Amino acid sequence: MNRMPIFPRRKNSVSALLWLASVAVVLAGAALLVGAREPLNQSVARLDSGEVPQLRSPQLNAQRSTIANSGMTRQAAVEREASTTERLHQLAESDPAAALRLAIADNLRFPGSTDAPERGWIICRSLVNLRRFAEAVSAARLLVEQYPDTPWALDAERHLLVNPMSDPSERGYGHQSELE
Amino acid sequence: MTPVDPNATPAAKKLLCYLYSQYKNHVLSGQQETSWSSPVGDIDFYQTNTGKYPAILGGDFLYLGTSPSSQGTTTSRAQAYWEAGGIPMIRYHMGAPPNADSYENSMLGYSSAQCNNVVTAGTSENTSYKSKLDYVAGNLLTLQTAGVAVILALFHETQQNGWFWWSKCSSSQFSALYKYSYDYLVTTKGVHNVLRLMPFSGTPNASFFPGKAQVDLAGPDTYATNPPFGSMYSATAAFIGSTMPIALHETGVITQPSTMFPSAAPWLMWNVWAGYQKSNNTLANIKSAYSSSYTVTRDELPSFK
Repeated sequence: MNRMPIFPRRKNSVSALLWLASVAVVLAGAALLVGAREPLNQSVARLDSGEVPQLRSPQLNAQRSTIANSGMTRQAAVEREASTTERLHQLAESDPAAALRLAIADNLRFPGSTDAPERGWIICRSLVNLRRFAEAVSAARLLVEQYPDTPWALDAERHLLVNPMSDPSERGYGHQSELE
Repeated sequence: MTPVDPNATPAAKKLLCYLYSQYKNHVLSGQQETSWSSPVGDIDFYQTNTGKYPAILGGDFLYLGTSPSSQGTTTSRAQAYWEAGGIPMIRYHMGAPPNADSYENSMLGYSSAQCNNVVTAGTSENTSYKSKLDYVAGNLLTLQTAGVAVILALFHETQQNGWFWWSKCSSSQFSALYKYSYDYLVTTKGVHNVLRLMPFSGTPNASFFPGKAQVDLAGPDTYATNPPFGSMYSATAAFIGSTMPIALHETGVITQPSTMFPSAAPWLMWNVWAGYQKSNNTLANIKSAYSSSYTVTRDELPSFK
């Protein structure tokens, strides 16, 4: 029997809380304080400690949008977001740890924005570049769930949710190096 | 039309001539195997639902065998498909040298120094890389002995800063890697049964094109859902030219041939990625595409022997 992509796309929407909890269990083994407001610097600090990268649902983020963008005009916020997203692409290759921190921070700063799927993709790529493959898979799964049919989700799906990250049928299975 | 390898086998030469004859008037159907899990089902799916088999079978040298093992290896399945009248197309999710082969390791970062080392004798990267090429060559020579011609798609989805390690190199480093690889396979190892497909990502970049003297076929890939992907076809043709066949070497959605021809996006082939034939295509879409007079299926291929 054919195997479908190893993480079939969920057809029914799942509450943001359940998704965040499932990601936390998969990535860090600890529940996130979902729904609880926390200062931006605490979110970044948790990320620095290696915890879960957060892809928050538009619903969950809506309550943060006013706080995140207070004091900034809408146009200024859009322009600022665009410039940081472009920077994130560059950082994802040169400094993926920084890209990861900033992408998560920007998700909090610009929740549910047009650039959110792109940032989700950058999170996936950054995790891959950091060799945090299991987390990258989880992040991709969440991206596909939250922003299906976007180019970013489609790309992440093909690269992270189809071929298994490791399989006994692989030529190098069980080896770290070709030179072993 | 002759392959870039002047010593290509007769089968490879015939295959290339055939591909050129079909380009811009027909499209070859293709399916990438779920090599790690019961690939027989990928192809049987089409027979069951359309009564036809894809013209092209996609394989991957990353996967030594299949599960269950009774379904053979990537190489044995390529040979069997050829003997059944089809065309094998094989890529390789190679682990970044000197790392072992695994899907994860194919996506490792690769520094500029490593990009230089991999083609420099005496480095660990190069020693590992030659070992991997030896592995590829061994399998291709098995097929060569059996009279099989292969479309070889090394370095798939090449682009600046793409997903795989070879895309972390600069354009000049990539061109050096490409040329080194085929020189090694052809000149050092005696592999002459391949047609070289230069497989770009969805953003084909002219600076990463190794040149017509090194490439037999070229093309991009996409998982977008708005076929026939005319803009991507045009972007590729802008530097590939109007003569060399352009292949949609990976896709999620089958493009309806009626929307491709005569000139919107006359792909040489489509090759649906592993599993996507079920997850991203309706049966109606598949049946329509396979019944099109533009579409070439396995039973319609000539003998290349």
